[in-house]
Amino acid sequence: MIRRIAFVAVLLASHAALNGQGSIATTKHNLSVSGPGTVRAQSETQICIFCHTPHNSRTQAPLWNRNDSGGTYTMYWSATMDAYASAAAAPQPNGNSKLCLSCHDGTLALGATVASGTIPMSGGITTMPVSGAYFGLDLSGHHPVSFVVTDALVSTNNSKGDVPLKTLAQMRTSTVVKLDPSNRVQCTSCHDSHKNPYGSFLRAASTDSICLGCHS
Amino acid sequence: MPRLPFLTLAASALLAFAPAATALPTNAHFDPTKFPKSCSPCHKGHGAPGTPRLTGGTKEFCLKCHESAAKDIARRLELGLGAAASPADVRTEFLKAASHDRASCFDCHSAHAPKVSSAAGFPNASPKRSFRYESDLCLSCHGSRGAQGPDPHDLAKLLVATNPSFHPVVAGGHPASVPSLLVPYNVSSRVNCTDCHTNDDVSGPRGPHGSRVPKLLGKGYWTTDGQVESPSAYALCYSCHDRRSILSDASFPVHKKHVVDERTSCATCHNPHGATSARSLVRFNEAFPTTGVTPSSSGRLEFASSSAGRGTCYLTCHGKNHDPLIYGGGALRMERRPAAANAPRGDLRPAPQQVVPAPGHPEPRPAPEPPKR
Repeated sequence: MIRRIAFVAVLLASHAALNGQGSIATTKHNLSVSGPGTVRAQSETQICIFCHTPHNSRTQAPLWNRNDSGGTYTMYWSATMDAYASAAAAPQPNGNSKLCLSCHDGTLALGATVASGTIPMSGGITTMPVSGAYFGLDLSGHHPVSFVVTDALVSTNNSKGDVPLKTLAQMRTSTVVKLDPSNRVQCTSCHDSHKNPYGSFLRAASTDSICLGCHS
Repeated sequence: MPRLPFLTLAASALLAFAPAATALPTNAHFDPTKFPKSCSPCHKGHGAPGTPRLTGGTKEFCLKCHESAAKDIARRLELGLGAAASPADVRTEFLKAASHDRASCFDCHSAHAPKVSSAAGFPNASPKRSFRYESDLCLSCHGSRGAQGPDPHDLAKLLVATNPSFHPVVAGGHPASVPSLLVPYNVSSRVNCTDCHTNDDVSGPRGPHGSRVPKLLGKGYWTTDGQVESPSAYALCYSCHDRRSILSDASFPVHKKHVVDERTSCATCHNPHGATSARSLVRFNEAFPTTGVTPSSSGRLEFASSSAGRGTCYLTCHGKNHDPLIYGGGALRMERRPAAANAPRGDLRPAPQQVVPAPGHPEPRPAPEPPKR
């Protein structure tokens, strides 16, 4: 009986994988002609090419196949934000966040690649259409990214009687959120661009559990 | 991967020994029986521009919960409110004639700050971080902000302890005699802005959100002349100042004459915040106008007082030219300026009002009638 339950469980798990819940193929990030979204290529069948190329790639990320946006962003700030003193003093997006913004700020063509030229998209689409995932250059209402988390930052925040932060060590060992190798918060701290089992490419089913990866 | 924020919260509580980790402030917004979903009812990763990732950018965002409709069960589910949540209905307060509805909630509140003590009386902590006391917060808009000009809304200038008289909000303990104070108040007592300026509905949320009483006051206070005196007409004043004492003329010998007989508002003579050059909160020396009072025939609008219970008024009010009127020390007389040897004295009895005063009336004048309650 137990063996049968285990078998069913494996079957369900593999079904989920084939269903694309654990694969990029059935997410909106499959921009090839086989993609499930309304934003997809006219005829390009390669899924990965929109971001990655095996040859002549850039070094920002593994085998990176896109140029950076040249936009200057309005960054988030609030009176309880201790990582920097004002919106103007905020670091501009860097690291992985810069990669995401090469599509999501709407300034570069979705099909513009480094190694393979510009891939034509269907429906006359070039840059990202204005939708929930279109950010533009105003990031003032978005969770801050690209700042470095330090023990000192955590101490400062926690001395002010507001919502406490977890320790840097707790953030780094979180099973939900991911700081980047330089201990920076990036888009990829909360989102995994390669799979979408929970919606919005989030790293957990509960958005609250994502918040609580860093915040207490 | 934790599916429930509670588990994570519990885990963080267990990790309270970890360096730099501190407890959440005591605040209904962090009470899991009221907010079982933690952050997401208010915040999302990509929120309204210029907000701390809020799902909405205006006051309507807070009022989604802080309105009577949030008592509806389906609406509560939609809002993510827990069973114990009972958000104060602030929307109703903002609909009242006097309200702070043009302010942003965040002008006065920090959604994450510790709950402010509900204890009455001074000191009262500010509901917004970065202000220590409530009065610091109020004066950040209603004070002069550093300017010393004739700003009628510069309450900081009126409340400062260097003034001859002031309501004890930012400072206390001025040595004035205040015979009318009710127990437990005395001249050392302190008060808060919200002791007077608060919602008029005692069952509603505390604080100056809205009131049917002008000036956003918690109790009745007519500021215009012509109102019949009653315990409710000046309920605000009478909550600290004994009505019997006022109307028995214990402090000012003609209080009853003015307030009861002439139907003069307390506000006609007094600025409750303070007076920059007069005792007893008398407002005639201030730069800003008062209703119903005009200069005396000699063009003066002034009040001078050298000690408690004595004073001189230059003004015209309720059809009477006080040029000046001098009271105190048993005296109560009208004088013409420059003082004439046989100046007629004003008639200070109740109506009829147009009595020609008899010259050379002997002094002192008989004591006023006892109050009728």
